[in-house]
Amino acid sequence: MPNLYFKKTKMKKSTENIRAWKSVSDVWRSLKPPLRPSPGEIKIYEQFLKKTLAGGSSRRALLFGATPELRDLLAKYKFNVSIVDINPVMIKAMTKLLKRKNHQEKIIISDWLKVKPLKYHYDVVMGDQIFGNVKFEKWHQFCRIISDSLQPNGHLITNVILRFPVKGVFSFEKLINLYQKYPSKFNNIENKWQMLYKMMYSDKRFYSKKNYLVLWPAILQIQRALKSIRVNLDIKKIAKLADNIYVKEYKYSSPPRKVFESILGRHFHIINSDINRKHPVYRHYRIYLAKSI
Amino acid sequence: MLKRSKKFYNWWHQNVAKRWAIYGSPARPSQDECNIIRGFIVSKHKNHPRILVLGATPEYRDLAHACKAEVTCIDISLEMIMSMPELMKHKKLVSQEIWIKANWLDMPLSSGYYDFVIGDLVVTNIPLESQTNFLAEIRRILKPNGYFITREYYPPQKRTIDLIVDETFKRGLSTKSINLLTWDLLAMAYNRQNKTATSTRMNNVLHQALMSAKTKQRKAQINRLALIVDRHYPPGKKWWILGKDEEKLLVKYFKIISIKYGHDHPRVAECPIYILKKQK
Repeated sequence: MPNLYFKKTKMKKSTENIRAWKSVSDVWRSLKPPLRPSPGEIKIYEQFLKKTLAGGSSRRALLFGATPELRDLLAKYKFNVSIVDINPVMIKAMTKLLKRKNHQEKIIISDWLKVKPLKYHYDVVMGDQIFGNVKFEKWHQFCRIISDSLQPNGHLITNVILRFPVKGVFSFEKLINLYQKYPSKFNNIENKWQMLYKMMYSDKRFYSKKNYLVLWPAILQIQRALKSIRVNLDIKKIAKLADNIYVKEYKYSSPPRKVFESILGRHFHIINSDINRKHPVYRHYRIYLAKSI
Repeated sequence: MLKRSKKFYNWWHQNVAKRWAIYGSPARPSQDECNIIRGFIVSKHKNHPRILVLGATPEYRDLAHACKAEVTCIDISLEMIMSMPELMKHKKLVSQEIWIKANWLDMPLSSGYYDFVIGDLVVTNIPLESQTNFLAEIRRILKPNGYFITREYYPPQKRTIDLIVDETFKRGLSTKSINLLTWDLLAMAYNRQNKTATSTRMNNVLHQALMSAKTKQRKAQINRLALIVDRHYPPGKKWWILGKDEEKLLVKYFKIISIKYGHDHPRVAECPIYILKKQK
């Protein structure tokens, strides 16, 4: 899930803080798949979660991030959940969007790479697009942290944004031309993001093949790229193209499937993986079920 | 009176967070008391100790940072942990802390991880029937040579409400004086039979004094104090205070290394600092 704030938010006045988390929850509520988990993806998560239940009676889950859809799912299956997120404001905001409240939830505010002192050996570790939010160079370290927090035979269930091979070049210029000529094509959010992904993965300004780093098409990034091709576009149109999620720079890691599976395979036994087949854009979002070795 | 439900405690904690700045010693640890704890930690562990702060006490978080420690704070209320940095000296180091919103009786922390667990008036916030579980949980998370350092509360002999009111007006209605007043009222509200004190009873003590006041001037004085106390400690909060019997409970799980007292506020004798070592 997109991390709207990166640093622990300092609480100056409680009113300011309330305003901050209300705005985060409003943004999240307004987002649509693929920017938040789609019903199809939640079904896959649920299928995988059911498989993990077959083993034993204990139900302890560690959730990276505060994604409300996953918290609802874990509450449905009566899991004892610990949430790890760096941003308390984000957690507050996401808690407002829960459909099923789990009063037993424990909350840990910490950097994901620093969650050392955890008591439980969890049965399941879950998180939506968690690897993307960790630097690619630290994925092994992150895998070790996850594997340490799992009990033997514990499971990891996560969605990963992977670079899907793009045929030909779908340049930024081409995208903007299309956007100017056929704006209605961009009304469907899934179509739009399919085109945005195609563009990102084939344009050096937005994707580095060296460290698999995606420079998310945030408003400022698009403005900068537009300047370089000398095209003027109204800020409202830019915001619409970028879905108004991020204003400033946001980076995440997105390697090809083979690279990710080779890393994950060193720490876990991959049992299954699946995608939502409703729309081609979901080819980028692969959900994995893996077992600790 | 509000019911002591989860909703009430959420409300209470949110309000305590807002009011924290008006509290002072002895309700909050004094500078001298913090120095005693800090001095002990530094004498025992010079290199980046792992410290767990029970609650969100800004003074303890500051002293833990001053010891260059890896700091974890655990509290039932995230609001408390989030709002306290405003009152801290080491504000910049807050981002390095790990914050945990969880019950102290079931801490999601690994066994034998911490060098020190520090808490301020913590046992009094745990119901009597759960205090043994709480101490066992602290012992579990401490390293084999770990220490539990806690400032506790021993209620003194009761004094008369007239004496307390007189002393308060003699001192003047400063923040310091009000803190001493509320502390004295806590002792008045302490029920030695069921080992509890409540903020409702604290308020009632003043209301009873108001009813029995003989002059208009006295009534006005008590009425003024009642309004202030009501703001400081709204009705509904309960504390479980074992008093000197608490020591018997502590020695079941810990060895008492020393009991120390600060010197910088008039009620230090009621707030012993226990330095306890994990029993093997």
